[in-house]
Amino acid sequence: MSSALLPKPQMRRLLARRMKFHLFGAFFVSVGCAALYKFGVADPRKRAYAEFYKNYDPMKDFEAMRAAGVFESAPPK
Amino acid sequence: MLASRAFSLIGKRAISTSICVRAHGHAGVVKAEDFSLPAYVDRRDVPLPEVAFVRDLSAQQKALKEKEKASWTALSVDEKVELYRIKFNESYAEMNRGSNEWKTVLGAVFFFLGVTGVILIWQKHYMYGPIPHTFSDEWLSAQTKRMLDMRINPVEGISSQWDFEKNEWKK
Repeated sequence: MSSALLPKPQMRRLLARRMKFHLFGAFFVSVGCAALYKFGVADPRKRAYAEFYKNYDPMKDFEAMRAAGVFESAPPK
Repeated sequence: MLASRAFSLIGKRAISTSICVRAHGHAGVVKAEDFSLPAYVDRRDVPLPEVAFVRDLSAQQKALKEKEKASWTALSVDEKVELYRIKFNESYAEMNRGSNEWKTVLGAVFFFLGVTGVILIWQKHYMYGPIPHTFSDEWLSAQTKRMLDMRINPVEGISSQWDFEKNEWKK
């Protein structure tokens, strides 16, 4: 047993300190997840749909599909 | 005690059992009646157990307990430690020490995953019949061509990866 005294450990406000840490952590983790999802998934998806439909011609698409022979009621010309 | 010894033969790591610890600090054998009495326990959430660790004090320890009734400044450091060890089995530091048990656990997990893998490989080779003809390369390529003709998933999915002008996959 060493003759030097150990420093007195933190005795009070232990829960308060833990709560503060976890409250901040939880806030930033959840905001971070939301931001990552928005910039990683949601926005690219919206852009992909906007790009697709910007110059989309459904009739041209239909004629291409008909030529390939996938329709039963609209055979190729 | 015996179970712990047997396991230590298979793997040289500590496996914790509570049964062997109970008989430790005291005479040796734990009688059936003792299970209904308050017991000593080394737990993080029980800082002051119901009984002291050492139940039957030797003559020397009894003398020390008498000395404890007088002024504590008269006690030497070793006597204070001895009084602590009478009352408690392990200090918090000793109680919370890590062990090598995780290596045994991880090893056992991988071992049994390997055993499962061997079983699965044996099954595939000796037991299962052929897979359906719809998994052949010709069928899969015809299937994919039909999916592209139908413009399946044209925004983000498979048809968006195909270049319809050049008739090849997009780079």
